Amino acid sequence: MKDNMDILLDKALKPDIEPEIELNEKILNSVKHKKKSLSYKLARVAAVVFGIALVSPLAIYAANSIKNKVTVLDHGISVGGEGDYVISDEDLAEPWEDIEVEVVDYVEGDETVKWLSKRVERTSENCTNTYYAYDNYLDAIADAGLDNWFNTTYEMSESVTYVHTDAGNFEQFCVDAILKYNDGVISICESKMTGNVSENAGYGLGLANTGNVRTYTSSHGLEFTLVDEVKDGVTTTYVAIYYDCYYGYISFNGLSEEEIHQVLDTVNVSVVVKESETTEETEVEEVTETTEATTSEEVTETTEATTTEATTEITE
Amino acid sequence: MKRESLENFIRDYGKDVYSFCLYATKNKEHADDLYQQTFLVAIEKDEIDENQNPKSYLISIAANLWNNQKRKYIWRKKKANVIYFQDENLEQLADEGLTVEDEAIREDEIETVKRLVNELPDKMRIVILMFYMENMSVNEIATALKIPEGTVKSRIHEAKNRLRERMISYEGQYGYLA
Repeated sequence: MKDNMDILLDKALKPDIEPEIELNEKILNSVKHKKKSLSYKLARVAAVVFGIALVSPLAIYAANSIKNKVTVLDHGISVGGEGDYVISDEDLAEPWEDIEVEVVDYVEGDETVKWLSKRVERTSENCTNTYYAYDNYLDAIADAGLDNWFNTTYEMSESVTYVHTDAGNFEQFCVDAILKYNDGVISICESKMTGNVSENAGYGLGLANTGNVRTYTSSHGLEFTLVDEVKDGVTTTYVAIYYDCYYGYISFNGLSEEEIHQVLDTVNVSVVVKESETTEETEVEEVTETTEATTSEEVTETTEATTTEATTEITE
Repeated sequence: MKRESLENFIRDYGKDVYSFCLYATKNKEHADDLYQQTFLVAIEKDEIDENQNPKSYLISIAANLWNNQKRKYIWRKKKANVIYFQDENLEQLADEGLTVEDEAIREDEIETVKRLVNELPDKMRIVILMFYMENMSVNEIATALKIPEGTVKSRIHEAKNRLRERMISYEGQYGYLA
């Protein structure tokens, strides 16, 4: 038997909003294509840029060291890189272009796989992106062949996505997750690139603006550069990470500075460094020296730019 | 899928699917994308059966696509969920005997409920939309989202409780009749 709330909800949620005619036309026109796959344009994207292969010429990947020379720019954070491979502010500020995307497959998972669904897209740049949805962060990390940056397990806030990009001469493995910590949110985006990638490649994280730059040395002796971005009145704190062939960022919303430090104390990428084939002691020492130099010379505080509207959908 | 069939599905269920997409995403641009992707996935799979509740099938696709996508938006716009659309079609009660004042209060209640539904956590809101907006059964929702029926019922129950509590709080604040 319906109660008053049921009646209210029935009336309030009556589906009475029509889509625009152009939108329906777009869908109808898609069946005109003779090919089985369909194409449509995605909305413009992204405040996040993975700058390694997108902006730099490529060479054979060979590096095996931490590259954490951090530079805070007006439009994001640049990490590592040598010479022309260093990500510049112009690279990060460059607007994203709309790209054509074809959905070529969509499959829901079953008991034989850990993912919930898989969607395969092909872009106009001849990349194939496979999106896997998970409800377990560690499963996604394992399937992607990535490291677990945390030495503890955080509760997931939302589902996790693993994106595998095949661009022919290189591949990217990327896991996006949103985790809970106290009353706030930790977002982590971790990637690995293999194939034709330069050892001098840099990594760039594009942001709408940057400010309140500071550093924190964690309990593991890792020095992080923290940068704030303010959009729509919301402050997000970012930490860019780049070592060996792994790169990405961790961001924090709704957490105090102390809580951010607590989380960073659980980040132990040095574990990966110690497992590398190079001399671990030498590696750590080099990192420390580089980091200290970075702190005094490279980290710059920038004024906040005007916030700009941008969707956050990530496309390849 | 033939164009004619697709036209029929869009004509018959486009409004339902789009309304769901808009309430789920709370953003017109995202809703447009989700709406388009829903039909494109349906076209690609080519499994819509006119005799097997196609609306439910389409809503299931939309809900699952959104569940797999929304993490891309939340952490950027956690506090900026401005509802893009302007609801110009206030629901009018057909009840007899209501005074003009009662009808005005009821319209406000309906608007309040709409706003409060948009403030529900995503998992609850999706289930509420599927149950009340799209009139899907608990079993259909459970099948679509691959969750137990008990979980569906639990989310509906919890959502209604939250809405009631917020409604009472809201009414108390503005002096409406409880």
